[in-house]
Amino acid sequence: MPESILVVDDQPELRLLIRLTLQTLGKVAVAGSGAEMMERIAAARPRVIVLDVSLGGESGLELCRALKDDPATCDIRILLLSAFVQEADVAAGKAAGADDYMAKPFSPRDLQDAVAALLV
Amino acid sequence: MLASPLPPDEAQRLQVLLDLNLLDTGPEERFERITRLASRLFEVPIASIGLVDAERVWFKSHHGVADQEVPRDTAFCAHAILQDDVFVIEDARADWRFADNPYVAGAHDLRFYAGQPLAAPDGSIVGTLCLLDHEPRPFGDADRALLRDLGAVVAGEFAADALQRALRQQRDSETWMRALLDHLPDSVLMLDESAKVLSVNPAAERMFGAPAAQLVGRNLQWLLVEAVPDLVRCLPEGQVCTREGNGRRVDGSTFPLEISTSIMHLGGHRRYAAIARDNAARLEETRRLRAAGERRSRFFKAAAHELRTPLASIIGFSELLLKRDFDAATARELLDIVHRQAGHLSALVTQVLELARLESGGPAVLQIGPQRLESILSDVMNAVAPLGQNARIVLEIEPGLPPVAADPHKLCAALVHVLNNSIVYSAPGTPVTVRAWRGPDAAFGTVLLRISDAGIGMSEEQQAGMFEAFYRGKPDARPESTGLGLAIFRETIQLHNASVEVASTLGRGTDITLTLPAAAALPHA
Repeated sequence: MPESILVVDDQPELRLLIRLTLQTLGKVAVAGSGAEMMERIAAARPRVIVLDVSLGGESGLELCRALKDDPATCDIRILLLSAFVQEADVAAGKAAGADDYMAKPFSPRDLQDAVAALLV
Repeated sequence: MLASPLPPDEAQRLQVLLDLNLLDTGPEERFERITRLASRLFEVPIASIGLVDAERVWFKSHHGVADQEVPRDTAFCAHAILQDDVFVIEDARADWRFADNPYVAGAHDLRFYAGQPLAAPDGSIVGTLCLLDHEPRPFGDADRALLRDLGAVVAGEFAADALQRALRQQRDSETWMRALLDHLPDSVLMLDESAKVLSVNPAAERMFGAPAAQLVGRNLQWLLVEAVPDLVRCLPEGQVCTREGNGRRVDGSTFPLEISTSIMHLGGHRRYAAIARDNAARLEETRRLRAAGERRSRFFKAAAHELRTPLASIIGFSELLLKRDFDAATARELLDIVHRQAGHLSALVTQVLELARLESGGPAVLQIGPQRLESILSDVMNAVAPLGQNARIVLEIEPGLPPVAADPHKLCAALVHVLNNSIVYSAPGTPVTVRAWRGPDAAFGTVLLRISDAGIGMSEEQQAGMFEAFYRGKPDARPESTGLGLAIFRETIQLHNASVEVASTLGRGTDITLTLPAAAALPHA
């Protein structure tokens, strides 16, 4: 069974939380930075990426935009996860091509449902 | 004896009399001259100018008689002021109205009276010019005409007084207006219909950098950078037109300005009053408020982000623990994360509140007094001991330092934030030096304190942002850090009237130097 979900977050606790939350849906890989994310994608293309908007110094929005602009990765579905939750932030996420946007803190159940919907 | 009734305008008449400012004043030659003249002209022993007050007749001039005043109810003058013309009693003893008057029947032994009513400028009858004699005598038309003329001379003096008073009042009010304009901090310019300057006040001279003579005659537009034709044209009556723009001084330099104009009518001419204010301070204040507002907004956004991150762990893991079955070891590991994140959240909330308190409270939030820096540094060492790296810290304290003006707890807490960073961002084997020495400021005295490390150092960009709340110099900053330590440090230092300098080179290390005021600089020390 191929890896189907990739979790990208710079905080180890959140990576663990999301991995535990989503492991009922499929195989979950994790990455702590944009570079690590690209390595994981190259190794095994995921169907869904759960991507944190602020990855330390990196912008999750820019990574999202880059993936959606690249024909090789544009069909990977992306759920942005962010502690910035104002309307403008959500609009920026949509503008970057994200398929869904979820605010931190979140209920694991809701995240599970949202990712399940993207896997269909 | 017949008592005189009161005139119908008695109250008004008394006020006018009072306003003449003659009652109870000393003799004046201008009135003495008239009674002297009357006595001689009519060949009577007594001539006087009587002012009829509420209860008395008071003599401004009394030629030939000693009395300064007499009761009103027995005075002939009280009757005379009720007449339109000269009032004459040719023989009082033969006149039933006055035969038993004490001045007729008594020691004064008066027989003859002629009184010309005296009018104040408003027409109120305030007194009489009167002639008295101990002998009865006739008083014909020629005599009456002469007395009327003399009365008119007295009334003329009253009128001259009133005119003098009015002129003085106007002069006072003009002086007052002039003083007001001279001392007004705002520039006031009077303009004619074509917006040409007619006069300016000293504030306008200062504002436009030229004496009034150089400003008068110029068009208002010449003093303004932007074209503002509507300041004088199309200005509706009774309305004020206010514009913001830039003023131009006579030397060509410019400055931000707010100007208001309004129409007025002076002597049949349409004029404009222009009031100009230097706008620089207000613009600066607006800019400062906007910057503070933006900083606050950034702070709240960052604070919300920072609070949501540990909350995400707490909510997420606790929900998983409640809904799923984990083995005991995993459950314990997850609970441990929840506990740590709750601790972090608690530290964040505490520090956000501390920062808000420092930012809002001013100096009152600190209890500043004379403190020994040695003792504060010893508290700092105890506070960083849990990091287990105190062996790396080298203390170099110059002996005999003067006490510093500090709140010992707040300064200690602030220094702990800096020392923590120095320890964490430098290699375990390298020293962290804390040096304190007496500053060169001879007037009040200062103590310098420098914390130096040989750590990773900071770029210029990192140095620029290091004191901002929630600033993260590095993406992999310590997760247990709240990002508020240095912001709290800076606020604390500012409240101590101390200054801080940062010198840092990437890969070489960082020096943070504080200049603390010595306690001798305290107002009460």
